[in-house]
Amino acid sequence: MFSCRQIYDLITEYDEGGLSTSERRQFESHVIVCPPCRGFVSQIRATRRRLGKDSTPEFTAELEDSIVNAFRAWKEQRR
Amino acid sequence: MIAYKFLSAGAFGFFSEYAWPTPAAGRPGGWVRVSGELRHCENGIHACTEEQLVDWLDEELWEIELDGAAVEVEGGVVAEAGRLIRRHEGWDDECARAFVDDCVEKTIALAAESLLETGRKQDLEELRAWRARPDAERKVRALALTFEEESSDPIAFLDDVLRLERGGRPESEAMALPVERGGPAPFALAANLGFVCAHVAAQVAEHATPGTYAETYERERLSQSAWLAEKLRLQG
Amino acid sequence: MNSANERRLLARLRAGDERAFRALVADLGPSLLRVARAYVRDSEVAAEIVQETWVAALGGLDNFEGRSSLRTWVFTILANCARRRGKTESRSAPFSSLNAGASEEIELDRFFPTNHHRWASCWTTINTRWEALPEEALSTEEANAAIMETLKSLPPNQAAVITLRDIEGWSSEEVCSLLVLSSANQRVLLHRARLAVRHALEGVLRVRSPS
Repeated sequence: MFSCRQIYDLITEYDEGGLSTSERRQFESHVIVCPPCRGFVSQIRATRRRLGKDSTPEFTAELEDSIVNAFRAWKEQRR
Repeated sequence: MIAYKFLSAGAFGFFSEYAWPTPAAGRPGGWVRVSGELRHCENGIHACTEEQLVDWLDEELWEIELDGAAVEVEGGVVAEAGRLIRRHEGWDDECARAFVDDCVEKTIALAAESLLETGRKQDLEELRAWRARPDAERKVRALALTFEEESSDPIAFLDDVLRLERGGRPESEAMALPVERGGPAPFALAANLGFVCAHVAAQVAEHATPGTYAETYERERLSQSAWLAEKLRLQG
Repeated sequence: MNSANERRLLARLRAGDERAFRALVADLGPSLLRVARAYVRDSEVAAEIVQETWVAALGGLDNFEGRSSLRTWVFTILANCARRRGKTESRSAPFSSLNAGASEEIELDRFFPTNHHRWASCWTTINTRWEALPEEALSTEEANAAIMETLKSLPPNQAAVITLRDIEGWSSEEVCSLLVLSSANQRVLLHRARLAVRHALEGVLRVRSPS
């Protein structure tokens, strides 16, 4: 059975489908009987969910305008 | 085929993160089916038998009906389709605590035996009084510390088990937080102590007769599952 | 975007169609800005990088052969601009270190030693379950600041991977393709970055509710 340290090291492999069937089973078996690992797994999941909700930094009208100006300048010098 | 399935709160699969349809108005939950090759831990409806309950402990215990192709795998069965039939309300915090109690009692019994064998009668009395007299606790802790680090004696584990039982950690004074604030729930402690106490028993056996760890561990786990099945009055 | 749509868009861009260009900018702009911020500390510099990216993209538009998608191509240009700029910015990096194995040292003290008789490599600490937390608990000012600081302090490739995967929702294949990484390498970077953000959030939660 895996140790807690292995759960810590392998959580991303597990989530990304990088573990073999046998490894997955060992991973899950350990987490089930280990409260701190259950907690850790829930924390990683909550972290990912939180990151997925991250709001977009302000893509300002100012920035958009300066980009469009660059486009116009480019278009101009193509003529 | 009827089998059992443990799920997290809200009939939510802990690893699959799948929200199972639940029974309503007297009808079973909807059928959940997979397509493609059944692959243990990857594709299929996973469930377990009465003998394997303790390997899967989680918040909710459900009776599940399986259908279609099914393969036996280590620790359970994987099938093409399943639907939740009913939840066993008997698996609750109280049942989980009773389970933990039973595990800890077994470890105390092993420790008592060990003390008896080494002729430490005074210590044995302290140990027996422990559960009844909280002030004897300190003595038991001190007792645990008198054993050598390399000892596989259950006494060495007793202090650990005492802390784990309350959601703490070995060799730490940190107190567990209540469940509402993210602390371990009774079912999680049951899962933990079931494993730890089976491990302790297996270590004792291994020390007495090398090579017997695995069979002792399995036997303990089977006995724990049987205890649970009996307590919950499951019907095979 | 399928290839027929993309060919049409390309034709319109090359013809100087401003509306088509604006639409593309609106579509990609916010993500480009976020990825740029993953590389550099300063949001003004990030905006400049985005600006540079579009200028470079326009300059290369005629020669774009369509071997990758337009989106990947623009992000590749961004990655190049950002890397060049990032090298000249000083970055504080508490989680990155001079040697590649550094993040294995994070939190090593949270585990019993490998030679402990009963609990080798087990957690010494209780880890609380965050599924019980209310949604807002990880979106407070402190939490947001902690995430921001962590992302800024990560080595650029870790920051880029976690930004693209977990914030922008790109697939593993897309990220490997853009950043030219093997999938194993990408997983390692993602792993370290996620651990760092988790660690930061845990710190915030611990401060708010001491046990």
